[in-house]
Amino acid sequence: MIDAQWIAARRAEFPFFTDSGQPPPAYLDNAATTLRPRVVATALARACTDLTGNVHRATHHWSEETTMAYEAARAAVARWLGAAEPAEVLFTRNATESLNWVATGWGQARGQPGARVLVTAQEHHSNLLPWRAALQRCGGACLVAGVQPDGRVDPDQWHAALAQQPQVVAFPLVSNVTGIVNPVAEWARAARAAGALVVLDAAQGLIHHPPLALAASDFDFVVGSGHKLFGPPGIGFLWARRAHLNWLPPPLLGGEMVATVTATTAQWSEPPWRFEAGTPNIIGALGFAAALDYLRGLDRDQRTNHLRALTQYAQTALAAEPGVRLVGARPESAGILAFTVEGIHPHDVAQFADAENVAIRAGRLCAQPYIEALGHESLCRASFQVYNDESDIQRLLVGIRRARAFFLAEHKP
Amino acid sequence: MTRNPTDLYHSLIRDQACAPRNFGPAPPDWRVFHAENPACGDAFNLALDLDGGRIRAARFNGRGCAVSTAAFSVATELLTGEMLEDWQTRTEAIQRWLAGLTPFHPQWPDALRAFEAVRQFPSRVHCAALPWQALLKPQPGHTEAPS
Repeated sequence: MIDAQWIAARRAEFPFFTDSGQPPPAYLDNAATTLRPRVVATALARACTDLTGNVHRATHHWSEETTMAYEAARAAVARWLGAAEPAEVLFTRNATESLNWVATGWGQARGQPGARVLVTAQEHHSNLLPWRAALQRCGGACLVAGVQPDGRVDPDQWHAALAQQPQVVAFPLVSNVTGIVNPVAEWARAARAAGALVVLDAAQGLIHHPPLALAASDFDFVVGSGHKLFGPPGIGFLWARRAHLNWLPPPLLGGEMVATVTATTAQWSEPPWRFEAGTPNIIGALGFAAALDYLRGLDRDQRTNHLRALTQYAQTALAAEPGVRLVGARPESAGILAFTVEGIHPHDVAQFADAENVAIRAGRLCAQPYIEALGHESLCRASFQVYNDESDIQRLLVGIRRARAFFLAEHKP
Repeated sequence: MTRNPTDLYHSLIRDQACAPRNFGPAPPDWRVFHAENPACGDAFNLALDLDGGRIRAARFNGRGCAVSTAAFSVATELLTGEMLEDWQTRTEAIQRWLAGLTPFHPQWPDALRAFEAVRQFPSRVHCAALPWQALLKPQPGHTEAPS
C-alpha cells in the first residue's frame, strides 16, 4: 500500500523537496545516488564546524574528540552491518574503491597462474574489471556465469563454474540495471562449501535489504557506498573478516598506517588503520553514520511495503504504456525498473523526462556486458525510494508521451 | 532548472535524426573512422571515399541518440567535397565551441549552428561532438555497423 501521509513526512525530511517549488521534482535516479536528508546535512555541517584536529595523531583534546567521533562512526557502520567488531570495517571512498582493494590485494597476496575467479554476467563494471586486471597480472582466468533471458543469473551455469573450484566467487546483492535480487545467502553457502572466498558487491540494494548480520554469514568481503544509503558521496566501506585483514596488503603506504619505520624497514599498524593511510574522509564518515541513524529510524516493514507497492505500480503503469517495454522486471525487484521506448534512444527519453522535472538514468548503466546479454545497447532506468509516489511515475509517463509525440508523430514508418 | 528539450532538438536535428542522410554500409575500400560514447552506448562508424585528401562521399553507420545521429548525418553532408585535413584541424575548435568555451567561428558552415543549443545541455555535448572525435580516429578495418 502506498501511504501518502508517510511519503509526505519523508519528503519533509529532505531539503531537495522542501527547498523546491511545486510540484516537487520526481527524483527517480536513486540507484545512482540517493538524496540526503536534513539530518545528514546537519551532521556534515556540524562535523565541519565542531571538529578540529586530525585523527589518531595529536595528543591535544581536539584531535582526541575527532578521533572518538570518527571511530564512533566506524562502530556505527559495524553495528549496522552486524560485524563482529568495528576493526572489520575499513572506510573507503566508495564500493568501487573497496572492490579494487580486495581484487588487487588478493591478486598480490594469493593470485597465481591458473587461479580462477567466478563472477556473473550481471556485474557492474566495478565488480568485473578489477578481477580481470588482477587475473591478468597473475595469469589466472575469469569465469563468468551467464544470465537467462529474464535477466537472472543462470543457476546451471553458476554451479557448473563453481565446480571448477574458483579461489574467489564474487556477485552482486542486487543488479543495478534490473533490480533483480540475487539469492546471495544460498550462493555464499555454496561458494564457501567449495572452499572459495566470497565477495559480495552490496553497493546496490543494501538500503532495502534485511540486516546482513555479517558475523554469522558466509561472506568474506562485503562492499558498499554511503551515497546510496542517504549518506554523502566520497565515503564507502569494505567489510572483511578479521583473519583476511592479516593477509590483505594495504593499498596505500604512508602516514598513519605504520607502527614503526626504520631506515630500511617498516611495520604496519593493526587493522583497520593499516588500510587507511593519510588523513581519511572524517566528515564523510560522520555523515555516513548519521545517514545510517536516519535509516534505522524508518520502520523497515513500512519501507519495504512502500517500495514493493510503488515498484509494482510502476511496472504495471509502464507495461501498459504504448511503445514501452520493461527489461528484466520481476515482482521482487529492489525498486529498480529498466525499460526501453520503441524507436527512441534512452538518452532522448531521459531528456524529455528531465523537461518534466523527472530524473531517470539512461545509457549502459556501467554494466555493458549485462545490457548486451539482455539484447540491448542502452536502457532507461527508473529507481525508487521512500520519497517517491505514484505521481512521480505519472510524470515520467508524461515525459515518455511527449518524447514519442515529438520523435514519432511526423516520422511514422 | 527545467529546460525545454525542443530547444535542444532543433528542427534540423529532429529531421536528420529521424531521416538520417548518407546512412548505411559503405563500400569496403572506403576509409573508416570510429567513435563511441561509453556512457550512453552510442557507437558509430564514419566512412569516407577519399580521392587523395579530398572527400568524394561520406556515409555513416551505427546506433545512437537523436543528437549523435543527427550530428553524423550533418557531418556527412558537410564533409562531402571537402579536404579531410581541413576538417581534422577544426575538430578541436568545434568541440570547444560545443562545450561553450568559444564563440562560433564565422567561417564554419551554418548547418553546424543547429547544434548551438547543445551548449545549454552539458551532458549532451559529447553526443554532438562524436563525429568530430571520430575524424581523428581512423580504423584499419571495415565499414560494417560497430558492435
